[in-house]
Amino acid sequence: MKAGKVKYKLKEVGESLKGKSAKERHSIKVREFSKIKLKDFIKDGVEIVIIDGPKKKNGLLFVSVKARKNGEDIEVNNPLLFKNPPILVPDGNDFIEDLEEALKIIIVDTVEWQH
Amino acid sequence: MATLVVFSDAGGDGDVQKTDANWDTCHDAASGDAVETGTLPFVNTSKFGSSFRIQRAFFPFDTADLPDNAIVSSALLRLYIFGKLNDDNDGDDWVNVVQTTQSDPTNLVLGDYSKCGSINDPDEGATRIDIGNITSSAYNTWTLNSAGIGWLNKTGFTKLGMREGHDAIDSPYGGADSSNNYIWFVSANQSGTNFDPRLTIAWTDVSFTNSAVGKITRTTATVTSNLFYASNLPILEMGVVVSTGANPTIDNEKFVIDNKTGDFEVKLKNLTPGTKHFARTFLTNTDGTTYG
Repeated sequence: MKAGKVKYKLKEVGESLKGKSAKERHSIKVREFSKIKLKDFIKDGVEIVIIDGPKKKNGLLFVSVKARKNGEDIEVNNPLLFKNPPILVPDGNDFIEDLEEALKIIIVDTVEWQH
Repeated sequence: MATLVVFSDAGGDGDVQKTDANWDTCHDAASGDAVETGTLPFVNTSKFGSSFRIQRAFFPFDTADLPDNAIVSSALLRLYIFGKLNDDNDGDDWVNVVQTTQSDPTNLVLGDYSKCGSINDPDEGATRIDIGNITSSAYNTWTLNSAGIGWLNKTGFTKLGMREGHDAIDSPYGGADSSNNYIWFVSANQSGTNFDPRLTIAWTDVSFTNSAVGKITRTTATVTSNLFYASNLPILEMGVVVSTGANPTIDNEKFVIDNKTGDFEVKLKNLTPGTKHFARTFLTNTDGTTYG
């Protein structure tokens, strides 16, 4: 990422956030993330098994997972609750809207940084 | 047990800076002379054209979703650091978390300059990180200590900030002209990217304390513990899990008892003589399973 040269490639969700309050932005994001049918995945060497979610619960984005790395279970402080989750992911020097990839990144990051 | 990850949103984060030829005037000013809420603000102490410059950072997080009865076990402030300079490497070249009294967490203003913790020797909410140990183009993590965890606001905004060492301890920056001790972080003004400031809070409304094993025979043992349960969810199952490997789970052997808060006792039976066993208390509700 280079300062001043970053481009943000927004799609439907990103465009719909423009001009909204922080509360409205969070609410839209949770609604849109809840529509994702997230399957089990492996990212950065971490195996994630989806137990529940993503879904909206008490106004937050709710996901419950199991995780393994290097063949060993990682203890997860489930559920994982996200407030104002990001929708953009790095794409070279730019950012591109990709909710599913963004969700995978924050799940793995959260699981890894609990320990 | 749960983890709440709050991503900062645009408006109230960034830095407030002050520039003056006199250190005390610069450091002790009630108000700054510039606010940076753009993409890449700074935590900085520096010298420009024979003047000192101090930049103090602000990170308000809306943590009102943290339940009133949550027992917080850990909290991490994570910032994506774009770059750093460490020109006055004299031992006071560190950065650390403070609690701000920012007037409006959605709008950073000049007057917030003097509200980034106490002017001199502010309480510090984490272990200091030497700028030399900051990693550029990566997330850097400050693990909040008990003071920092105590700043988490369960009814509104948690107002965190950051100061450079010389600024925090009121020690005039000794670097040459046009030199800096700074970290340059990605702000929430880029809200929606995966580099936003984030606050990760692990909490529970279930806890086991004073767990112990006693009354050990060749094939039995008794686990005693005390359950604190503040959740509104019904308890589905509780007891002790046992295995011959570390960290047993509910997928291993379970010894279930009737649901009970406070002191409880679980008798383990049919253990293998001469074999080391591992045991953990557990409780399952609709949010998942918590282990002691």
